[in-house]
Amino acid sequence: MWTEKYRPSNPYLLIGNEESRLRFIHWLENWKEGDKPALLIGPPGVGKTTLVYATANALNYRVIDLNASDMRTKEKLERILSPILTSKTLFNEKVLIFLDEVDGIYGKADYGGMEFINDLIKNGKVPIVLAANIEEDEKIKKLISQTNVFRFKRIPPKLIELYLSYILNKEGIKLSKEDLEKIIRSVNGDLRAAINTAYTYTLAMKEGSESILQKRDESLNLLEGLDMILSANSIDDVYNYVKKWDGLPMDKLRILYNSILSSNLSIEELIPALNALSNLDILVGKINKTQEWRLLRYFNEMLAYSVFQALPKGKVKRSEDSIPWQLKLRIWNEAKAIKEIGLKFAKIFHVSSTTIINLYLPYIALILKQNKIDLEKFCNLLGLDESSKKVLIKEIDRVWEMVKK
Amino acid sequence: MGDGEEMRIILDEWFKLPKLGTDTFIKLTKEANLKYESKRGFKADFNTNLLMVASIIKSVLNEDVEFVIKCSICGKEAGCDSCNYKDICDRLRISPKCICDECKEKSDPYALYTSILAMEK
Repeated sequence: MWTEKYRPSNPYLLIGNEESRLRFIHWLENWKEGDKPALLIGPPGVGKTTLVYATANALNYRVIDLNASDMRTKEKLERILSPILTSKTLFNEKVLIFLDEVDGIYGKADYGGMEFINDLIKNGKVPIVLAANIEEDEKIKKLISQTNVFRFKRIPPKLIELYLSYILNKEGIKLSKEDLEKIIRSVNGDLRAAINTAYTYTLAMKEGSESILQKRDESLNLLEGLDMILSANSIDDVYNYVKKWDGLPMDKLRILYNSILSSNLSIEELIPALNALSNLDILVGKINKTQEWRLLRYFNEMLAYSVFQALPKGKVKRSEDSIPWQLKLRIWNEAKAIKEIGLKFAKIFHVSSTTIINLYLPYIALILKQNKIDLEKFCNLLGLDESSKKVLIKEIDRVWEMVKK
Repeated sequence: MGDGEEMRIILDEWFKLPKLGTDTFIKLTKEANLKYESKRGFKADFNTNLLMVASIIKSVLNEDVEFVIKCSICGKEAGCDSCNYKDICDRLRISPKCICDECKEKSDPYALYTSILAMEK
C-alpha cells in the first residue's frame, strides 16, 4: 500500500500544517523531564500519527503506541508502561509514549484507564504525545489546559495534488488531470484517503475495470464498498467505508464470505477470518430473531474492527458468484449427505456424482414421489444413512412443491 | 467598509480592525486565538479558529470575511480565485498555506516544498 510505502521517515517530508509540524518538532527536540505532554488535535488523515513517528525516528525515540482499547484498563496500562516509567530502559534508549485516539477513550466506560492517563500526564518522566480528532468535546477541552496543543487542519486540495503527483511520478503511473482532480475532490482534505483512493483507482485501471471513484460523502454500493474496504489501509478508513456501504447486512456478509473463500488464504489465515464473520452472522441472526434493530448500530463497528483485523492485508479480493446465499448455506449444511446420495446413484447410472447432483437428482426425486416408492425401503436398499435419508426426503418434497406450483 | 461588504484577511499578515469593544476583543483573541499586538494589530495564523473569527466579524461589523492563503514556497498569495479547487476548498478549515500555480509548475515542486520547511527549522 502506498500509505506505507510512502510514509515519510522525516517530519519535513509531510505536507500541510507547516507551523504545527515545526512547533511539534521543536517541542520534542527541546523536551525535558517535567514538560507538559503534547496534544495533537485534528481530523483523521492529516498526518498526526505520521508526524509523531517521523519526528521520533528523526530524533531517535522509540515509540510506545497505545490506542483507545489499550487505554481502557488500568492494569493493562500499568503492565505496559510501569517498567518504562519506573526505570531506565535497556541501553538507555529514549522512549516516547503515544496515546492515539484519546477522544475514543473519553466517554466510554473505562476501568481506571483514564485515571491512570491523568496521572501519567502529570508524571512527565518521558515525553507523552496524545492525539484526538475532536476539540469540541468537553473532556478534551479539559486536557487542553494540561498539555501543549498542536492543531492540525485538513490539507488544501492543491497540496494533496502535489503529493499525489509525487507518488504517481515515483510509481511511473500517468493519471489524467481529470482523474487526479476527481480523486482529490472526493476526499475532503484527507491525505490518507487521497493516497488510498489513488492506489485503488490505479489498481482498477490496471485491471481495466470501471472507475470506482465516488464522492466519499456519498454511499458506496455493495461492490464498490467492498473494493474500498478490502484495499483500505487502516481501521479508520475501513470504518469510514463501512459506514457508507449500502446494502443489507446479510448481503454484506455473503459477499465477504464469497471473497474470503475465493481468495488464496492459508488455513491459518482462513480460520480467524471466518470466525470473525461467524460472530457477525450470530449478531445478525439475533437481530432477526429478537427484532431488536437498534443492535444494528454495532454491526458496522464489529464489521470494521473485528472482521478486518482478522483479514490478511491485501490478500482478500472481491469475488461474486451466482449461487444464492441460502442455497449455498444449504449446500454447506447438506453437502455431505448430498455427496453420499450422488455417489450411490452414480454407481447405478454410470455417471459422475456431480452429474447426479446437478442434473439427475430433481428427476429421481420426482420419479420416487410420483411412483409412491416406499422411501424407507428404498433408502435402506441404497444403503443411505439417516442424515442422507432426511436430505433425500427433503429434496423430494422440495421438487414436488415446485412441480405443484 | 459597510453593509454586505467583504473584508480580506491575509493569513500570517498583520491587519487592523476598528474598535470592537472589550467582549468582542476577548472573543477574538482568547477564544478564536487571533493574535494581537498593540502596534501591529491582529494576525490570523495556523492556530486561529477562522470560522469563529469570520462569524464574530460578521455579527459585529456585518461583513463577510475572505481569508487569503499564501504559497508555502514563494510566500506570495496562493491565488485561490483562479484555483481549480476553489469550489470545494473550505479555507476556514484547511491548513493555512498552499502552493501557487507558478511554484507548482517548477521542476520537482514537492522537493522544493519540503526543502523550504526544512530550512525554516
